[in-house]
Amino acid sequence: MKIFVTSFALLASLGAAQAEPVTYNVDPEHTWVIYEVLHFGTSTNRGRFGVKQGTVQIDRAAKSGKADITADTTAPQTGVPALDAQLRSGNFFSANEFPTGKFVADKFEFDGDKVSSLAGQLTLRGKTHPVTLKALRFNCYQNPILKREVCGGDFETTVKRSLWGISFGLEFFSDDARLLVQVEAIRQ
Amino acid sequence: MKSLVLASALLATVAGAHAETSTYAVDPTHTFAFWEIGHFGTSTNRGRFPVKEGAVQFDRAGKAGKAEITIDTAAPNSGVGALDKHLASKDFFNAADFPTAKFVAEKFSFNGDKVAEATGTLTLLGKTNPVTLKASNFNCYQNPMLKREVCGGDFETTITRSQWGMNWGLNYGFPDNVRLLVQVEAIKQ
Repeated sequence: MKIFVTSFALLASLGAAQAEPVTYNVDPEHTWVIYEVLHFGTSTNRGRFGVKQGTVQIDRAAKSGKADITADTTAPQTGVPALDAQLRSGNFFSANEFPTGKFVADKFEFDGDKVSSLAGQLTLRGKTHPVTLKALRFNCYQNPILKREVCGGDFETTVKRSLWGISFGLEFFSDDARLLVQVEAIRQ
Repeated sequence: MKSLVLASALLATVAGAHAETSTYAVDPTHTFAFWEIGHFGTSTNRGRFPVKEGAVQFDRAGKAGKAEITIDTAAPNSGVGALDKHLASKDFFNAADFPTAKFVAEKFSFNGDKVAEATGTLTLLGKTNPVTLKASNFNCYQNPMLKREVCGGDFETTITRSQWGMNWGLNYGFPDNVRLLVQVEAIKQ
């Protein structure tokens, strides 16, 4: 695996002049947005949203990239059906009116040949605010089942949900929501 | 809230000689066991198990406690149906033969009046090994809907699954280490 990445990086630097961005499609079985909010200042309530579609372009030689990921706000999964219904409702994500949330990143930062952060815009309930996702880990590998290169990692940020107008229940769910994003994307 | 905790701590100190153990029943809508395991050294696969039942006994003045929490191994939830089936199968949790996992804590350590660690045993696949859960959050509050005291927090540990005989995929490079994150809230009885 390491040998693969190294030889790829070597190849990329040899061909630097004509380095091209590579496109990856997000794998919805290994891509989830998990939120964490504090419940009554006591324990952490977690839930996940699935991803409808997503593409990532990475130009490892030029150290640049783009990502466009659409999450499905109509199907939150907390393990508690009544809470899922609350989250879909007008009190939280208004999923009828806004069935998706979107993260568009146009600035990738690299640490060596690994992506270290993604800066872009998060749109929820029709409101857009800047967000930077930090990589906790990033890696590319040759997936033995798909027989393709897969790049991905874990990314995180903490947002204030009230910025997007999600202000219901601030007395029992914290305004700070930690977002943990698992991403794996398959080379096209 | 803080004044309630302080007042009850004060009361407990004053009444030190006959400090009492309170029993709390686990609230299954705010109690889940989450796992985190690395996927091809790249990203983290996460999921949760629901709790079937659980009771916590807790003596804040005496700084002692006990907990017994039963997890439903037949209902892993990763968001991916095929993975959930695989996890419930003989390759992993063997839910047909072992429909529950159990954490029993016999020793609570405290930091001030907050629980800092719960030490006990985890039984999985019929095997029992010692485990210590560390608290990253702990608090008690008066729940305005239930009109009862609720105590809870977030606890975590990292286990090596092979200790319980859960070896599937180790030879393909799937990690032995699994991080467990346990959200618990329990209602005073």
